[in-house]
Amino acid sequence: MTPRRRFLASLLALPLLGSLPSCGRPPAAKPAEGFRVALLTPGPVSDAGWNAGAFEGLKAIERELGAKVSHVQVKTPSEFEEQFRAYAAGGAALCIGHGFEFQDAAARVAKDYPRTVFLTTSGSRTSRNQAPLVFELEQATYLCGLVAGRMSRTAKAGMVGGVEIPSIKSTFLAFEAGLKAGNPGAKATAVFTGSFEDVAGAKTAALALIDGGSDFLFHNANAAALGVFAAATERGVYAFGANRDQNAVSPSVLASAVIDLPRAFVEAARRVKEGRFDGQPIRYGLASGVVSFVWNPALLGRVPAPVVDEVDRAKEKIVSGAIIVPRGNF
Amino acid sequence: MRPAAVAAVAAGTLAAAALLVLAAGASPADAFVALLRGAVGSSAALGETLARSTGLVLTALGAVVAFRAGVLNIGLEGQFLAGAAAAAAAGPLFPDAPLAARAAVLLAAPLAGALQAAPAAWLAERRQVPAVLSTILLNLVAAAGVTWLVRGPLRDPSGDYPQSRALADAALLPPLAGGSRATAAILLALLLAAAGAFLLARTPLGLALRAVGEAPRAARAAGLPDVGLRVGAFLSSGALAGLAGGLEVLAVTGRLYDPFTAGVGYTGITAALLGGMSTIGGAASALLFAALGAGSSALQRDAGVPSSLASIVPALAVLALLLARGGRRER
Repeated sequence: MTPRRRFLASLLALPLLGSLPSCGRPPAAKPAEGFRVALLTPGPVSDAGWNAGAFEGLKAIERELGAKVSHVQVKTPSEFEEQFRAYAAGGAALCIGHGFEFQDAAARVAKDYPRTVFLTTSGSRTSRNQAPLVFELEQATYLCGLVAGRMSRTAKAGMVGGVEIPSIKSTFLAFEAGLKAGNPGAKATAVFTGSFEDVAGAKTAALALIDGGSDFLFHNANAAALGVFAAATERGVYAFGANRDQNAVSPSVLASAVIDLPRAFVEAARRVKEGRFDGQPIRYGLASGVVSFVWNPALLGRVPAPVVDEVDRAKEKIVSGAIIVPRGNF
Repeated sequence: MRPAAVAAVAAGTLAAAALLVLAAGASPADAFVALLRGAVGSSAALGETLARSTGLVLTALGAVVAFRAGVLNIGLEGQFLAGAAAAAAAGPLFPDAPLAARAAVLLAAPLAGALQAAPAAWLAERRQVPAVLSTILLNLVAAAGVTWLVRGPLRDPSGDYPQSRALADAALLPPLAGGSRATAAILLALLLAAAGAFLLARTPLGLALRAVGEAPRAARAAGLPDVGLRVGAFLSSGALAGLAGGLEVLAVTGRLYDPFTAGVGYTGITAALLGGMSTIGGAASALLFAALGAGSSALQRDAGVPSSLASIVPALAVLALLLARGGRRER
């Protein structure tokens, strides 16, 4: 090895020496003026779905609790932590990471800022100042499946997902269970496009499912759902809305499995504001009213009355615990 | 370019950005302050800029090394991902030995980056396949590879979420100062950039690389091993991007996710181009891009400018810079 090469090689060892004593502590959180709440979303709040609902929730917190609110859209895990840190250092009382994927970053920052509460929408990690909001949307998607099982002429339903993650797969599991409850011989097929924004990809996937015989489509694809609705309208099959009331988004939407995110956000933020947050997961299902199944009033006339009755009965049974809707383990 | 023209370009950019911000319903003054504060306004902000710049400095350096040798390596994004994947595979093998985990990452990541570049180098030299084409295609392969790895072989068995196992906390590089996210990784990146500048400008090897890049036929006629030099530059470029990916895992994320990057490999090439394909210029532009990135994060956070607009503002600034440079060259 020439001296020069040796010098270059020694550079590579530099990060090994990284265990230098770290000087000082994180900047102390500024004393907060008022109740500050921050929201991180993984996608655009114009998606008429998952992210739009969160943004409405943030606005509702501003309105109803008089909070000072701020929102950012983030792309990579590195940005999750960057923004959590900036908000916590700026004196936020509550930071909401809108998705399962925010848990790691939240946990890392929560350690350094014990006075800020970190909530993630879905997830499992908890600590003194971190917990997930758990939405049992499955209870409503089960009902969508039940409707498809009863009404499908081909006994086939398609499910279009964005990225293949546990929370999405879990809603498909429940949809399939509902479908089989409605018609034990029915089959559900799932497709994941790998993107929550790829409208064209979702449309292609939906068309392929329809070509394969599906006459009901369920989606959990956020913004990309617009492609699923376009395909359903084009071919004259029914689709279900997910996460928000999407009954007005497209004439093909027969009903929606809805999470009332604003209501849940305000309720959770109120807990934090009043000092009632206890580091435990906060759960919302059909019983809480945060999760619901909503028929599209414009299409309700095309649904046979016995099916409507059956959905109502199943709803009661889920609330009373007589039907346990399957859920993914996450 | 005359100072008056520079001022006109700057003013035009500012005005365009201000109009966009106004259209989004935010105050241009707030936006400007937020952008500056978010980039360099506090030690935390400065740390953020430095943390963001590590990957950009290294990929820009990788681009300079390749492009100066006449190799159009557009595959830095894929080589970055290969390095990150190797780091996520090698790091967790040593849960109880932080130094061994770091060493494993620092060896595996550049190696994986070079391996990711190798098929393109072979295709270019043996089959005359343009590197631009093959590297872009290999980027897609790498991205799909990450998608598969985090759901398959590398998936964290403790959860159902598509992410790899985490490195031990003790193995991650600690922050240089409390509350900031800048680590020794940025120092390594800057040192490598300085070493790269020295190598290209002051050594016979650097001269040979530049000769092969600028006049391949003359270089060959002069007896230089042109194929070896190009392949070497290609693989080194890949190794630098791979190292960048490994450091992202080691310094920031602690594991592999999907999606893992928002285009750091492409931004690195842009930074190298903006820096006039000089090593130091590339590093400086990389720092500028990182500052603009951190600033536009703050633009969203503190001034309420929507995300898409927040990324347009720095892009406008870069366009203005390019315009100013282009003008100067014409004279």
